[in-house]
Amino acid sequence: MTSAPSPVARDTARRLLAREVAGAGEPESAGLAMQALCTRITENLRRSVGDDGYNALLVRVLGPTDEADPVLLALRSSHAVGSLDAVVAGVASHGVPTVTAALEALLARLLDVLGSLVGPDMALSLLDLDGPPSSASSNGQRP
Amino acid sequence: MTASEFQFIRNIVTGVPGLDAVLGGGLCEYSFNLVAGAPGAGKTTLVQQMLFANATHAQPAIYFTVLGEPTIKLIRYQRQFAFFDPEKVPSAIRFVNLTAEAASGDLEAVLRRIVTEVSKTKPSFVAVDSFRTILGEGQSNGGADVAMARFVQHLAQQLTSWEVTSFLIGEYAESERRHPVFTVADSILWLSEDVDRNSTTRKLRAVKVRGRSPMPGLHTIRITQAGMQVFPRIPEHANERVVRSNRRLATGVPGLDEMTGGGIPAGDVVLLTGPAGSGKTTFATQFVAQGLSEGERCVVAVFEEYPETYLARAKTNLVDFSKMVAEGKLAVTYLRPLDLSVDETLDEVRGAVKRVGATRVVIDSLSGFEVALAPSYREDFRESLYRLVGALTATGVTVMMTAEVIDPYPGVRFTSERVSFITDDIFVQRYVEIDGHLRKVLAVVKMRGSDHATDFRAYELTGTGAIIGESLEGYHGITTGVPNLVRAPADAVSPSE
Repeated sequence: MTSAPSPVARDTARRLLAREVAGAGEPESAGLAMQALCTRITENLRRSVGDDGYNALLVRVLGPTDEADPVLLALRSSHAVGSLDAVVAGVASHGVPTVTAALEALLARLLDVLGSLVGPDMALSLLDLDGPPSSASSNGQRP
Repeated sequence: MTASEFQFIRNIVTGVPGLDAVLGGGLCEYSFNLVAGAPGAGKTTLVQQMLFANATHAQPAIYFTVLGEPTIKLIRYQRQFAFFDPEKVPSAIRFVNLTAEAASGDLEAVLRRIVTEVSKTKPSFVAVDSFRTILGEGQSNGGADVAMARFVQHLAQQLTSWEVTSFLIGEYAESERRHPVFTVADSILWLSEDVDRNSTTRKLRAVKVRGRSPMPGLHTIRITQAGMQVFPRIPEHANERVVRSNRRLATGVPGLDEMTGGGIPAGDVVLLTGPAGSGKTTFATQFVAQGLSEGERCVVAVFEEYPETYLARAKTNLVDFSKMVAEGKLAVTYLRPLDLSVDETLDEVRGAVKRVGATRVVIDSLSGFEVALAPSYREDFRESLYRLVGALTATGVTVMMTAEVIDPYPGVRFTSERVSFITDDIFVQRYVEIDGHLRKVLAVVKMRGSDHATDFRAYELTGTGAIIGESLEGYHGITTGVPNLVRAPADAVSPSE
């Protein structure tokens, strides 16, 4: 990352991920849950700010070093910065803890960047419009 | 528009102070509204304010952003306004970006996306910002006009059939009023920004409001941290005027009531003119103090100094008003100078009159008021003052206005603003030289419907205020500034006696 994410953003990201993977025992289930989160966040952001806005955000979030990070690269099926569509494969090759840490840092940085522009509360609203699908949510509350 | 017709179409209160009065009550539910104007006129703020006032979880809104208005920037700046409630995003207001579809130039793709989003969310309100960028600059002529007209009509039909109240925001110039969207729109709100010398004034016009009877004309708008406020022009409401009483108001200036035939008739508009230092503010302050002493409530609108300064001066010279202010019996209003509109002034003064229940209003001074106005309003000062005074007196208050004039020796000049026609009573102060002394004299020039003294009388400004003194009826040539004593006045009383 270009700079360390703030503790608040890191905590929010951790809770987002924890909420998503709650109850997922097997690595594959955890990978699917994290993939669902990435897909939902990507769709939410693309819907709100457009493709260009989303890509610009991701470029800002991912520094040059991170773009070459083998873990983050493994989460993408293409070189497009914004496509986090290979999370399951990334888990298979790097393991749940490594991918979770990478995603946590990525989401935290995204919250920080977006939060500096529109406020932390709005950043979370834009990322997590509806929260997880009801089947994956334990209590339906936002993190 | 009858009451039953109003009932047929549910009214939507806009949440923008003053706008509902301009619209004739509010907007019609399910209407297709266009908010047009130049960049920076306040279109986005206006629509956002209306959405935040109306959208709820049960009746959500979708805010489509298009080319040229990045969502993040829009949220970043709009959330600075007090009306922007982050809690309403996204449960009540969702932001959806249409850049990709709009950039393709495929109007059908744009429509499909709007349909998809509306079908998914089932909103009660939809805004498209900026609608103009969907249609594109290059499509405003030739064969594309037909496609565009079809698109607009199709969109309007869809939105109405979905029972959606919609707002299209577009950068349009007045010369583009033939655009198809103007025909289809149920209402058109046109925002403009006038720059005159160093002053900028924003205005709103309800060009068209189907189903309502909008107030005609240009209405001043101001955008503050609270959001947008509209200051409707105040039309004459002859049938709403308060019936005047036959009461006479004591002025608080010893000797002046006798000159006016028993005081100022309640509900009159009094103009007090004089050169610098002649005591206009002193007279007006005594008028206020007298009212307060009789249990009346008063409003003083000051333009040349801050209220604190005015109150401090009154305390030093005449009376301590601070207790009356604290008790809500007196309001001293101060309006931001130099780019003021008459409508804002009126709104402020009327608000103060209503708040304290005032029966006496002092405007000190017209000269300061004129300077405080934006240049474009100064050109229409007479008309502006006419509306201000008319609206105030319609509420039954008695208004005293001061105005500074430069004595045009020889002769008498009532006011530089040529506003005498709107006044009921005129008092003129001036300096004259008698026996090597500069004396202050006053004459009652006009008392509508009342006998009054016709002679000039000397007055003094003392530690307890102004006191009217002896008549100068024995002098000739007072208006020249250098009168001659032609005969001794019969019962002259010197203020010093």
